[in-house]
Amino acid sequence: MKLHGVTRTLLLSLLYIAVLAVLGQTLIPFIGPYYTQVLIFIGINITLAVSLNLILGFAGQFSIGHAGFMALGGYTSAAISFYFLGPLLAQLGTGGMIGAVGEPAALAVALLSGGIAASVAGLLVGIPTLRLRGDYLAIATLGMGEIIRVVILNTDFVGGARGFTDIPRWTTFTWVFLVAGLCVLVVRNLIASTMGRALIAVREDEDAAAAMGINTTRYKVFAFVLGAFFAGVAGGLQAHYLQYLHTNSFTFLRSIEIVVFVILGGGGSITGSVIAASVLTILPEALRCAESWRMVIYSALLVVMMLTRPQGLMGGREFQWSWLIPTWRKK
Amino acid sequence: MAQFVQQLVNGLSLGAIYALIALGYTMVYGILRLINFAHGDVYMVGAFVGYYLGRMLNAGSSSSSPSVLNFFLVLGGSMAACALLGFILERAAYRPLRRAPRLNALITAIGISLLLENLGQLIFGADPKDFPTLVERTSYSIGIVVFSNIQIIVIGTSIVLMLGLQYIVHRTKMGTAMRAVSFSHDASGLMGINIHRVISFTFVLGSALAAAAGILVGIYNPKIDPLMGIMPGLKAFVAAVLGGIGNVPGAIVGGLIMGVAETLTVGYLSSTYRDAITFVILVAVLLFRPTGLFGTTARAKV
Amino acid sequence: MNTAVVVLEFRNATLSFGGLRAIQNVTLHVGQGELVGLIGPNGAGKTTLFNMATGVYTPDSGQILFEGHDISGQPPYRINRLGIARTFQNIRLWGQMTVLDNIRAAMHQRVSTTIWQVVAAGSTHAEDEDRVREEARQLLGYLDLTRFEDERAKNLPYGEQRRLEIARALATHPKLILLDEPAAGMNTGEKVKLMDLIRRLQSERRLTVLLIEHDMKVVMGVCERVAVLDHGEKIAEGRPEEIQRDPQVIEAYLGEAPPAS
Ligand SMILES: Nc1ncnc2c1ncn2[C@@H]1O[C@H](COP(=O)(O)OP(=O)(O)OP(=O)(O)O)[C@@H](O)[C@H]1O
Ligand SMILES: [Mg+2]
Repeated sequence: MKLHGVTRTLLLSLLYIAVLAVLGQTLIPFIGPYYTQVLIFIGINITLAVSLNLILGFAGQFSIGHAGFMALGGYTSAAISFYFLGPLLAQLGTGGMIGAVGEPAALAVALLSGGIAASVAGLLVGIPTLRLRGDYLAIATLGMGEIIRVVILNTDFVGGARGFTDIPRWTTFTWVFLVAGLCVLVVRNLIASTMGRALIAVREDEDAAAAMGINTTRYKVFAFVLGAFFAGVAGGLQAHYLQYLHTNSFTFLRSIEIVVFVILGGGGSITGSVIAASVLTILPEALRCAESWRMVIYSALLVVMMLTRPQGLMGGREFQWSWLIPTWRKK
Repeated sequence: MAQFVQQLVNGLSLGAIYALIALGYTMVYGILRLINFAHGDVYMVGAFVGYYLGRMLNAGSSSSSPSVLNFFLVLGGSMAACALLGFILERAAYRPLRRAPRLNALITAIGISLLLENLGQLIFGADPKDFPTLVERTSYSIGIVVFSNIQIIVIGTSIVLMLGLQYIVHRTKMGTAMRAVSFSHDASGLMGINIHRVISFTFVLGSALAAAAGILVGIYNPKIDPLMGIMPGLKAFVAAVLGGIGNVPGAIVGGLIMGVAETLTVGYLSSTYRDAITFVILVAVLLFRPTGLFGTTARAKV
Repeated sequence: MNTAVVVLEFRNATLSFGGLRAIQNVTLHVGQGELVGLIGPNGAGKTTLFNMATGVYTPDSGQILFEGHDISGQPPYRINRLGIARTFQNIRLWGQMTVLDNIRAAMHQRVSTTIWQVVAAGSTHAEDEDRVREEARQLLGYLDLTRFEDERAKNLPYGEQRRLEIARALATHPKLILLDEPAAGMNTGEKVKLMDLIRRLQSERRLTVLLIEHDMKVVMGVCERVAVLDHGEKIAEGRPEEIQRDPQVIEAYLGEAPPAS
């Protein structure tokens, strides 16, 4: 039997949510805070990598300002929680219904606001800059990311140079992977659709795409805005996990780190982004002793990869369910 | 008014350093259409080579007093070392990608940049170091505007190097070849120009100028560290874009403007906006005049 | 002059690149259902004329009319939606995409969709998708490309790539198709097939065709009317036999390779 469209998406999503809920109740208390933290960072990085892959790998727009969107989303959601949702929850008390759904609901609102703020910024940044091509776009997004950072640094009510402290801790393992799963689902479905084909056509040859009636600017801006949205949500998740934000975590280097996830995994492969983000989050943890070598290894890996296998780990291919079926059953 | 003139003097010294770095960006871009992200880090390496050379010389000289001779020795040594570094980088990392998509070359350049920064932290240590004193600082004043002999050396050295570059580009065979290659690889190849050699030479030249900038910054503002190349690198790149990337005089003017804009921002606004002004200029140029002040518009061929 | 309705018209179109006058005061009509050739030595400005008609460049002065409306200055994607499609001289397929997807991406207008449908279901209106796939396959059949359906476009042999460019242009349902040197790099057998195809575009699909071609056999074989460009100026226009005898045209080609015929 082959399931199609909405039914299939719904069933898979429900299954995924159920698994997450069970893991959240059983695995997480069992493995303790350190491993939970590693898992949470993995989930956040997957979201960042897959959303940047939409922009960089599928639409072919070289953006190196992803950390800027992440910062904007993080600070916006944190500010809303700190000034509005947190006090509201405190007022409503922790008893009964409110106690059970209050926190998740507040987090959802905060994350959504962060995502929206980032995507509005993506729209404002995207419309003028996406006219630029290739390396000029890279530099422009870098500049935009840095400007966002400097503006935050000089905004006092979010802590300015001191950093933003006392953000409520609402992010959980389940939430992080809910968002990561949603991001993968959205990007995957988008790519498999007629919009996705248009987007890839823009990447492959923009002039030809325009000559075939594809409104290239619209598609590029769309990818940019959607990518920025998930980066903003990821920023919100980080804020509500660490309970502290500082602009130093959102420099150009953070953007580059996300670019590395995408490139090593393979531009245009969601599977690749997920694997690369996971491995490159675990690796430095595993190599604690070699901390000073970590970035050296990262950068050397990047160069060697470009020289020997520029298409990345997956080379644009995606995970197929059929990989899991033993070969003797295939005809 | 006096404060303004003072900022101008400071800005020009800083701008001369940016201009020297910007020249390397603009020459490489002109010839390869590549933003050599690692260029700012070559400047950092230049400063560190100068640091070790300077300490050696200062320790070795019996009088142990700084001298102008030492300055020139350090300058020359560092320029030579970075010329070699530029040659190796181009050979090992960029040449294999000559026919690859531009994005790959750009990512490689970012990788090289990170590699130099992190190797720098491992080898030189992450903490800032004091650049050895090569020239004793003396200050002069005209009215209430103060300037130092260091500033004179910085600006003077930059002018000499820029004139030298101008001579190479316009009066030598290699310079003519450089201009030809930046116009068209295919046509130059057909004319019997060895394109690989010209590109190597461009990297060598640009890296040597970056090293000179590293030394000048070392005597001007004597704290150096392995990440010191990031910001000046970006600013110099913006300077190159501002002047019209690929345009040699444009890079010089762009560098001076960036230096002055920065000191004016710090002087009249706030030092927290020191780096932001760079990006504001960048974004404004890209949006309103992507070809820069001196660039000519070229329409993409279809 | 042809009596049919004018589909495409250049009116005193002029364009410079810096100091170079690429197109000077060109006036040219293409009538409904006509098959017009555009020839001229290398660098004459033929491709530039196509680029102006498809919105890549805007004329410095003069007008370009499509079905009576001035289209100069409109963005390329909108001009395509009005009904002008083109191929490129230096093949510009979407190399990493499959042959079928090259066609389907060009048909993206024919799938009505919203972002919500996309996100929820992966593929949108199933019937729309099925219809598009069906039509794309038909088109591949029409151009004899069916066996390459799942091949990546960049892996196709040269001649097939040229035909895929034509197929992709047809997928946008144009009224007028601009072919930029479609026979370049083809062998004699392929050229004969191509000439047959171009005639069929006109007779079976009721398309208007404007064709740039260096191969005079192809031009003389299929075109009803030929315009000659030289140094950005239209120096002659008329029936193929007349053009071949025109002293000005022969002059223009002197020093160049003379038109093979
Ligand atoms: N974007 C551009 N920038 C500068 N010059 C251009 C541009 N596009 C075309 N040209 C110049 O305009 C002139 C006409 O070029 P065009 O490509 O239209 O010639 P063509 O007739 O198609 O020649 P060919 O037969 O070689 O394809 C040439 O001199 C070309 O170099
Ligand atoms: Mg042409």
